[in-house]
Amino acid sequence: MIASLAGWIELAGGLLIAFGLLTRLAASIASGEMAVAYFLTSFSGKTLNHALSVLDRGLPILNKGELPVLFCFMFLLVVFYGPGRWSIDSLLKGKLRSAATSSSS
Amino acid sequence: MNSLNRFADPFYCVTRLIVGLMFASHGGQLVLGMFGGMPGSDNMMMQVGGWIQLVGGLLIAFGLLTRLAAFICSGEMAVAYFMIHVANAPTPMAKFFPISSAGPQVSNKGELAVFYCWFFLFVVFYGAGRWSIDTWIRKGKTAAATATI
Repeated sequence: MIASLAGWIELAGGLLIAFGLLTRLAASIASGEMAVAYFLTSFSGKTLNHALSVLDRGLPILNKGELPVLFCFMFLLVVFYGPGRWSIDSLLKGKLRSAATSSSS
Repeated sequence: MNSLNRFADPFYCVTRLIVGLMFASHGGQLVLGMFGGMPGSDNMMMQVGGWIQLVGGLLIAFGLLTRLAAFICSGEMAVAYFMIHVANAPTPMAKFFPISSAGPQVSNKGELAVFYCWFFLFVVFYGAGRWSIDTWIRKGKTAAATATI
């Protein structure tokens, strides 16, 4: 259940972020999901399948949680940075703005 | 939502720090044998790569010569992806897909290399950001220049 829920977030969220539709919303959800994934699997020792030392918990290179940490920070950066110029979001915003200016003039 | 943009640069610096340190820890694993070392890292290629990762990762993390270090690290990760991950992939499908959680028949497991490569290329174009040694040095220089005038 929890894994397939995460999988749907990754599939839908990843495609939304990739093409820049509802980018900030999708990225914030995906970033939160990756933080949960890191703490539930890597930090808790599920990935390594043995008891963890303090070093194992603290360093992602040891608990094999490097990828979730990277995704978490990258998507949080996307939340703050925004979709950028080549995205469906900016395309829609440009369309809305031109529609507004053409109706007002 | 655009008001979030004012946090983009500080958060970029935090991300750069974390990613740089994780990258440097791979270099420490290769050349210094930290974290239990890495099997098969005793040849010339891997040692050169390890030094690039260790030094470049630390430079990027603290923002010293950021663009130059990021350019070299990005290139090194591209080489690592194509010369190690893609070259050792057994099937055509595995040559194409880097997904790290999939099996060796369908994936070359080079997701981290791809990720680092693109992130560092982004760093090359974005620059050091406000919380970095580069910015700190430049500020000191402009302050000294205005003080003499």
